[in-house]
Amino acid sequence: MSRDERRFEITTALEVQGLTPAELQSFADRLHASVLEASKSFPSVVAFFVGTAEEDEVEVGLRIQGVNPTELDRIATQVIDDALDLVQERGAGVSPKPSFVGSQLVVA
Amino acid sequence: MTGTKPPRQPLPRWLDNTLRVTIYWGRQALRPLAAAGVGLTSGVWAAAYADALWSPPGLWWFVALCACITVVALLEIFSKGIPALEAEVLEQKGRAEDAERDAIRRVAAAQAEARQHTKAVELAVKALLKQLSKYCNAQSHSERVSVYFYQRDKFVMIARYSMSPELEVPGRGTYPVQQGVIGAAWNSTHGTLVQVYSPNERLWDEKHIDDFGFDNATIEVLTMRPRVVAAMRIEEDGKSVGMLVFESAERSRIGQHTLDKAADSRVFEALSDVVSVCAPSTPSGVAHRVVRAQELNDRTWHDSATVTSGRPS
Repeated sequence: MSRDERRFEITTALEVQGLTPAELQSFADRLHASVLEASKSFPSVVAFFVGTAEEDEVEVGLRIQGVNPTELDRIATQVIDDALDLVQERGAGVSPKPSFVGSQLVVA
Repeated sequence: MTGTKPPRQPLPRWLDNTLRVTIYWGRQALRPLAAAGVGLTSGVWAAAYADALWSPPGLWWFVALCACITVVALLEIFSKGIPALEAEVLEQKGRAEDAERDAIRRVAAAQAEARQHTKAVELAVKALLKQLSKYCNAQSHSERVSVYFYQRDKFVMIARYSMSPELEVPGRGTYPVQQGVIGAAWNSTHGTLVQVYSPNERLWDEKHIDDFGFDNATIEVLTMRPRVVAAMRIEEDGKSVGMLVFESAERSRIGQHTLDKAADSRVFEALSDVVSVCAPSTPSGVAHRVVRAQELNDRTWHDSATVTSGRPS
């Protein structure tokens, strides 16, 4: 595989405070739908996951392929920001403002 | 009967030593006692029994005086060798002290020499790190680059370079192989990992404690709270031998592109050679466990192009 065709996995953790486990799961479900929607604007995002982690965190994983590594952070940030905006717009249920905890990037 | 006298068999060494020590200490203890006895008995005999020197009890005091004088005389006769013994003891003691001083000098000289050699290696590697950070555009006051070799489940820092003297200060020196970004990168499939942290100090601390196994005491002594850490495994001749780690206080300064650029450089090749020399006890083969990759593969990934439902399966 040439360097340009490499596939990266970037996992971002977001802290969401003040939600019950059921609300956190509901938020993660809505974020999942929004990430799917937001990632359609970025063909390089080939797969993703959204899941809960610990008691007050959600994780968003993006698998990104065929881009210059300098673009990875920007793409991931944009997809997640767009997805969070979509969650806010759709507005059903609790829509908290998550805080960025960290992200981890590896070559898949 | 004629003939030569058979040579006297020397005493066993332990008996000889015991006798010599006994005589030595006997002389040391008995001499003053006997001398005091001579003084006492002669005084009592002459003063208290001046009128009856040769009849009891004055006679018994005279006998006691003679006994004391005899003891003193015998001690003098039998302890002729004592000064030689004392000289020998002192000489042996002196030799032992000389040997001890010599050993201490040798150890100190060896340590100094080892420090010089270690320092030379460190300075050479630091020069390579300086060139590498310059080549990778990671040379500012907010960055540092460190190199570690792997040894028995821990990473040992060889050298660190930063334009900032504060950031260049060596931290803990050794790092457990299962801890932090370095450990995660070491265990990853492709040997690279870029970790971005929150600028929020509480979240930064929590991330290190929860995910990377740090404790509060360890966090307190860290010389830097980086926003980004980019770590890459150093491999040489089919072995994983160490880690190269870039850290920056600014989010956008370093990333995967930094690691890619470093990996392509000749300086990194030279650095890998040096690290492999420094890491003689590295395990054979590519010694890493694919922990993170397995973790990620356990997730349910959804194809962005084909998934139509928003609900995770």
